[in-house]
Amino acid sequence: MTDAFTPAEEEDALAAEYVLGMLDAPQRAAVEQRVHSDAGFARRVTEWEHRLGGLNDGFADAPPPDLLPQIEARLFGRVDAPRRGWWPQWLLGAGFAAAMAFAALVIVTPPPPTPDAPLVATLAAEGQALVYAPRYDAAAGQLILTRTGGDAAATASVHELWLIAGDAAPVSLGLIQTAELRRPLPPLPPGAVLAISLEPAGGSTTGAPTGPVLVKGTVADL
Amino acid sequence: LPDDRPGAEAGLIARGEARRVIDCMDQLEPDRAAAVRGAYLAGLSYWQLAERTNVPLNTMRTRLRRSLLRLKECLGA
Repeated sequence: MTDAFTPAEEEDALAAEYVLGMLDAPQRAAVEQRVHSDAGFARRVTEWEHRLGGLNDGFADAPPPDLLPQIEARLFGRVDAPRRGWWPQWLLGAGFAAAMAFAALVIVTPPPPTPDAPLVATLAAEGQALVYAPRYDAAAGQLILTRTGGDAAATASVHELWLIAGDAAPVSLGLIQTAELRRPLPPLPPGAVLAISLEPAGGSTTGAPTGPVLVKGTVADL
Repeated sequence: LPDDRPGAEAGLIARGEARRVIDCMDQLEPDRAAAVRGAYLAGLSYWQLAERTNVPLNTMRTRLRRSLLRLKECLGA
């Protein structure tokens, strides 16, 4: 296999990487500029969005597997059997949905940060000013996410926090609408990845990150 | 707000296109197809893909780019 790409292939591959969110921040910024100034390149980007969009639709046709027990087991290291037995199943589902909706929609007025909540990871990326510092307040059972570097998302976009445990699909932990995001959560498993993606205002509508991953970090073994 | 939900016809067309994407993905080597899926559906970065498969970063990038171009070719055919 030859490694050389023709200029047209190079351009096409770059457009595809942009759609896939594979570029780092400076590359992405350069490509964004180009989308605005170069109609031909913008068309390549649109074509890739269509091509790869089919991948989403194809998978959406299959019945969704019930991943919640697996995700819970991965996240919390066990399946919480007694609680499950005690609470009706639908109430758990409804509670989970409500918690997700709450995290996604509500704008919380943050209480002052808890100084003794230990840092669980540093979400950063090379060449990227943006830094998020997630802390875990064990007493309150809360993940507290604060931005310690860079700027908030520009108008019409939002930063979304994702948890990726093992090979499981990313799970949204909410949108970062204020200086600080607080989210009730069990302790995070060491080695899980927290990532921030750039999403359109209102957050990802697909349940998976749709925009580029800006920064990420691995949960430390505390 | 405009209703920009796809209609039934668009849905059928989209489904047909989705089918084609999946057929074309099947023509890639399984590890290449897995990389494309990982990148698009799981939002994995090059370093995550490289780490998982124990492949150097630049090799992974070339492979993924090559796979994407093959996918395009297949869809265009």
